[in-house]
Amino acid sequence: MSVIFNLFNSIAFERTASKIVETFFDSIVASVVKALYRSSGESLQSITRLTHLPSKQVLQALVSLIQHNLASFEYTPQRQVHYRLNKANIFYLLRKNKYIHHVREKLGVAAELVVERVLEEGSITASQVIVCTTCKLLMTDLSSAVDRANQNPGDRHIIVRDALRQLIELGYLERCASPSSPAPPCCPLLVKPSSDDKHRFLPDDHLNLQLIAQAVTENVETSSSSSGAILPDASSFPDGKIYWRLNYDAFHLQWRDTLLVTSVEKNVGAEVGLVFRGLLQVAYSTVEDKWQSGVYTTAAHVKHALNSAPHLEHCLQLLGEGESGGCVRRIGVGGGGGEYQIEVAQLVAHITAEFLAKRIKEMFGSKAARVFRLVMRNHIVSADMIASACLLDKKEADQVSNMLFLNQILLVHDLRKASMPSSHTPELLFFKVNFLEVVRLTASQCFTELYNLLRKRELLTEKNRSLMEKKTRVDAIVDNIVKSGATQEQIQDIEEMLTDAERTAVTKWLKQQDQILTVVSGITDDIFLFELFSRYYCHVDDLSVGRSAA
Amino acid sequence: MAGRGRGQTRLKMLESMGVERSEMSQPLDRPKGEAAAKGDLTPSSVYPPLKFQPLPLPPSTTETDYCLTLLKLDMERMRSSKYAVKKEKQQAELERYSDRYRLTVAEDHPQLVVDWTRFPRELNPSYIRKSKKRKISKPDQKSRQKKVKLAGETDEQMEERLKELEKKEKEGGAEVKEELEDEEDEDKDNKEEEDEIEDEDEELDEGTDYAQQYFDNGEQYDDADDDGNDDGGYY
Repeated sequence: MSVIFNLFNSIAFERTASKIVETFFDSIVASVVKALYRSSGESLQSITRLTHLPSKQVLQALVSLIQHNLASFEYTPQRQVHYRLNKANIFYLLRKNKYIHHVREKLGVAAELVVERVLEEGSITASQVIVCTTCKLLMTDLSSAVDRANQNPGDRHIIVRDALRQLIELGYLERCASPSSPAPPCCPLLVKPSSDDKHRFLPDDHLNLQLIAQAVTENVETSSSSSGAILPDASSFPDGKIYWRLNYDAFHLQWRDTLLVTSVEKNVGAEVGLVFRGLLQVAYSTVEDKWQSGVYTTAAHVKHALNSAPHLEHCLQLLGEGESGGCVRRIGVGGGGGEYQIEVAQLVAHITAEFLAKRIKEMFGSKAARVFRLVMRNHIVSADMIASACLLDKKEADQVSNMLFLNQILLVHDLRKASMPSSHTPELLFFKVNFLEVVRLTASQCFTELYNLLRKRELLTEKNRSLMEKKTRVDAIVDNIVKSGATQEQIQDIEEMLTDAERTAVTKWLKQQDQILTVVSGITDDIFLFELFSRYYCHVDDLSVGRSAA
Repeated sequence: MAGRGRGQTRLKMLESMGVERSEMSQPLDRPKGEAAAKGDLTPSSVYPPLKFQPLPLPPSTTETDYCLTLLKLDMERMRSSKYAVKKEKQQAELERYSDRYRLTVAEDHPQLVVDWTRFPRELNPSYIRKSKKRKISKPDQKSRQKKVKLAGETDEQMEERLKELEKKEKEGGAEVKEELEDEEDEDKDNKEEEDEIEDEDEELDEGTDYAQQYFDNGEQYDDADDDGNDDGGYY
């Protein structure tokens, strides 16, 4: 029996998805998301009927969703337009800060601003993003972070152009599909560019740098630093039909590698972690699809690339053992040296099992984690075996296993009853773990926690709205009088408009908001692990997945 | 009766796990021992007590602080951007029937401007307006055709008249033109007369016919008493 495990298609994510969209876009767009969630495609009329909203607002909401790649549309054979959600992309809204920070660490401030603008608009042309980013650099104090020595300040748009080119070459930005032919109605976002499409990469002949420089000058004169750069009209540039958006997979692949290497380093050692990282890099050079589970590379290739690594053979041997997940196997040992196979899926399952055990330890204690690991390792475990293997009293073992059973982590294995029941036969109780169900349950708990946190933040924001508005007004007045050269007494008088109790309340609310968003950030990291698991185990035939991982 | 059926198996299972019968139906936070003996009637807590407290949050670093600031700014920026669809402001006065059809956009909220070639045509607001205009124009054409028919002519008669007019234009084009010019002159004269009449009326009425019907400026009264004495009064 094959079980389909799709993380973002679950009912647990439905409420969370509309709450995430409401946090970023407001309630009208969230209503449209809610109407689209459970269907595979809805027309405009049915969305208007389901949401009970004016048609103008539904149109604007759909445009916002499509622009940010949260929804897509397709034409049916009856030439009607059907809209559907891209559910995973809704969750990625919460990770925008991580994408921006990742690019800042790797490529610098200019690339960070480019990605920030791309995320803000959803899809944008190259000229538009260069103009807006250059304006922001000129209007804010970030230009000093970008300027290099002996660089002409008027060439900042060239620096931004180079950053954009780097992002495209590394795969962080991808081109939006363009319509192949104008005659029949075709969805421009579903058509993939052909392999001989000369616009696949950033074409220099489509970028008019003079026009861009002129637009930058005009934009700086008209816009202010508080409102930000005004988005220029795309049709006024030669590349007005070539749109770019963020490629989430490129980021996720690098984060996956970091997660795998960190896990190996933590379980075995730093040296082994370095060897594993090198092994992955060597394997990627021979493999086309870096996401595939079984990644192969020859032993000769590995020894040639990692010649400088100390104790290479010993590290490779440790990588094949259980502590590191047993993900690296040597195949075909012989005259040719053989091959090394990296089972990424197995390592992901191992990390997931460790995560679940850690979560159970936090919620129910170390004894519960011990019982969980024991039942995971063995297929079916009796109550007596739990007590003896986990070094617990019989009563304590029964209580712990009962608690795990009540929380649906352990399942009771039904035994076939004897044909002749007698009073002398003892009643035995056996426990087992359905790893997939435990992962699904934990993921749905994470989504529920996320919803609760966002809802709490929303309620506290509403409660403290008037207070925050008052604080904003007082700060604005103080800034104005400081600029006009006021004395300290005058500044103090203005600041006293906000009482001490109000100031304490504002500080408390800001601290609460930071705590809530820190936990939200942590939960998104946890859900990334489940995302990886669902990518490799979306169709599970063998329900004993994870048994060897523990 | 209570000990049979499914309940029996469940009770036995719980007993085999070490749960005593007395503990099966009691809430966890009910006071026990001396407090129970004293008759403590305080209400139970809303949430069950946690046996294991959650771990403290990790200490903040520059990296986490930066990510946190980015997230907060992003949430605020997206809510105030053109992509956040705002509800239309409702008037605080009496609800009127025309409010349903009057559209008021939230003030200071930027308009949504995108490249409409990348979206289905039905999402483009200007596309919807054009189709409404076409619908409105059709009834006017029909009413014009009806006016022509109501003059007493059928379609055949109208076609015959048009053919005759074409012949006349070819044969004696000047006469027809003169006729048309005469008609135009008559129309102009009529319009001028109407204008003159309107002007006179305006001078007299100032918009109303109050002067004609009600107002008496006393001119007739003064004329009747006029004896030619122009010296005026002595006071």
